[in-house]
This record gives sequence, structure tokens and C-alpha cells, in this order.
Amino acid sequence: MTSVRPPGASELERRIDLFGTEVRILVGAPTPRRAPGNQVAVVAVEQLLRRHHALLTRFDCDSELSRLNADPREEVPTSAILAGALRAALNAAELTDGLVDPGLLGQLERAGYGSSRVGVAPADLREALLQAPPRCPARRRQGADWQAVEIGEGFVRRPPGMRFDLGGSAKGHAADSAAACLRGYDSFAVDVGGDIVVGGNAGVPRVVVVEHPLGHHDLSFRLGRGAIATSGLARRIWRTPNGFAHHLIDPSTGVSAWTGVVQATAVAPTAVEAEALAKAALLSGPEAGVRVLERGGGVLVLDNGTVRLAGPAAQAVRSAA
Amino acid sequence: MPTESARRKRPSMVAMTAKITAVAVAAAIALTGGLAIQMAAGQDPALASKGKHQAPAGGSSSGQASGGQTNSAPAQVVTRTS
Repeated sequence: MTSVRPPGASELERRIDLFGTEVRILVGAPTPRRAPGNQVAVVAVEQLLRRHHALLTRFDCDSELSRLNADPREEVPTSAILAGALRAALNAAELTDGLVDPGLLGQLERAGYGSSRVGVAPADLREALLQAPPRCPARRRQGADWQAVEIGEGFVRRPPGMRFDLGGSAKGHAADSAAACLRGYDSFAVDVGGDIVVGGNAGVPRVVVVEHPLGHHDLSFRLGRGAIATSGLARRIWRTPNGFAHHLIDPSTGVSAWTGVVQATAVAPTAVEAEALAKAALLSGPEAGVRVLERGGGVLVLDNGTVRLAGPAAQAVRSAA
Repeated sequence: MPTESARRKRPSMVAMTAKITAVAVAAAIALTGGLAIQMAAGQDPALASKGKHQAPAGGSSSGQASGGQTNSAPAQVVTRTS
């Protein structure tokens, strides 16, 4: 049985811009005799996240990920952080049966996402939905390159020419890694652009708000321990000569997926899993998407703004109004 | 003219003032205590009618970092498309 202690000292909060998004670190009081003060933890977590970002961004040609993607060799040495992020991406692909595919960088660039969109205003989602093609669920690629990737002690071996986009799984992996440093504290939350891990030894549930992408009422629920992630079209969407595109690619077609779902939120034990399930739920469309979220719970927002709840979240979620 | 016994039954001005003061003090304690309990629970009554969640304190602008202390209850977190 989980013990619940009243919260003690207030949480220390730190906000930074990383991974092309806002990162928020919250750390409560150290559990007696288990950890140093929370000021130390916040600094350590910030440094860890900055290290992850520096190594894993594809928008810096000197990052380790960019150097891997440019390396013509089949087998390339990797740091522990890159190896961990690659494993997380492969786990996400396996968990979603290939719907979340880390080998779609070329398709993403051809869709118009070749450079960072930080500071670039997104296109209007409602307008994009009006002009989008008929909705259909995304499907996995047959014989995708990720299935042939091998990660060993200090190296990765992948098909020649394969390039990785770690995107959401890198954020999830960073949030999970940071959370692992905070096991000695009464409460904590690591929020990497909406991919969030919460926990703490005091066992006090935290309010989690799910922002509605079309401006309807937000939803909220309480979570004491676990991860939440949201994937959606609203922020990384842009105009193209032929209409609109966004960053969630249908692996089977190589172009942006218009499935009838504009946002999916998933609850799971880890941020990597939550991120993968949220993306897979969005790519699966309204019907199959609910089934993807059934186990841990989650929220789908459809093109018309309708909200569908899945799994345990269906009982816990309420309007944040 | 009131009789002597009727005069004794009428409360004195001092007693009336004391009673009114006690009632006022009790009401003030109940009101402020209730507000304090709601605030401690993270529910600011002044914000109760707002439809959207409140932006957390200590927001940052692009490229900057910021920090601070939150309330004693675990702070709310917001998940959104990023």
C-alpha cells in the first residue's frame, strides 16, 4: 500500500528552454537521509537535460546524433546517452508495432521540417483541418530500417544510409533519465515540453492538466507516480505549396498523417512509453486510438474538438474549468 | 416607568457590546479560516470562476531560465502538444 505524507517544504521550480520547447523541473524536500537538498537536485537535473539536448538535437550539425546521421560507416561508436536514446526509440517502435518509426528523417525533411521551428508561429490548425485530405489511419512500413538496428556496448550498427529522428522519444528518454535522479525526494515532476514524469516518496498526487488544442475546456486528473505525454498537430504545423503539413508522418506514405485525431495524451509508467502511445494513438485514428490508450489511460481530441477518454483516465478525468 | 424587576432583566450596554464583539470575532475567524483552508488546498476562491487553468508562476520567455518556490502542495503540471 502506498503511504501518503502531507507535503512538507515547498517545491523548488526551474524553467529552461531546451529540446525546442519549455522544460520545467519541480523538486520537493529531500526524503530524510536519502538525498541532498533540492537545490542540488535541480541543478543536477538541469545539467543532465542540457547534456541530452546537446547530444540528441538534429538541428545542430555538431551534435552526436547529427554526426551519427552523417557517418557513412555501418557501425558507429556512441555515447551512453545516445545509445540510451536510440534504445528508447527502438522500444517505442516495437511497442507501437512500427507506427512510431525513428527512421523517417528524410520524409520529415521532405515534408518541410528540415530545420528548427523554434520561434516560428504555427499555421492555423482549424484552417489546416478544413483543407486536409480525407482522414485515414496511418500504417507501419513493411521492412522498415529500424528493425535492423543493433545497439551494443558503445556502438550502434544500422543499415547504411539510415538516419534517425529521435524527436519525441529523445524528450521522453530525457525526462525518464532526469526522474531517475530524483528518487530521494518527497515530490518531483520533470516536464519536457509536455512529456512529464511525476513521482515522489510522499505519495501526494499531483494535478495534471491536459490542454485542449482547439481552446475548449482543459481536462485534469491527479497522478501520484508515472508519466504523461501528449502528441498533436497544433504546434508543429506549417503551410506548404499544396496545403498544410505537420510533423507526424504516416510511415506507410511518408507524408503527414491526417487521421481525424488532432491530439492524443497517454498515461504510462515511463515517458518514453507514454510518448510512443500518444503518438501511436494519434496515428491510429479515433477508433483504434482509444484502444491504444486503453491500458494506461488517456485522452483523444478529435478534429471537431470532441474529447474521448480511454482506460483508467476515463474515471479520473474531469473538466479543469 | 419600568419596575425594578424589569430594569434588572434588560441587558446592560456593556454586555450587549461584548456579545456583538464576540459574534463579530467568531465570524471573522470562520471566514478567514475557511479562506486559508481553501488556499492551502490550492484553490484560490478569487480564481474559482475562471474556465482555463492559470498560468503557473515564474514563467520564462524564450531563451531564458527562471525558477522559484511553489506552494507546499505539489504544483500542477500541464501536458500539451509541443
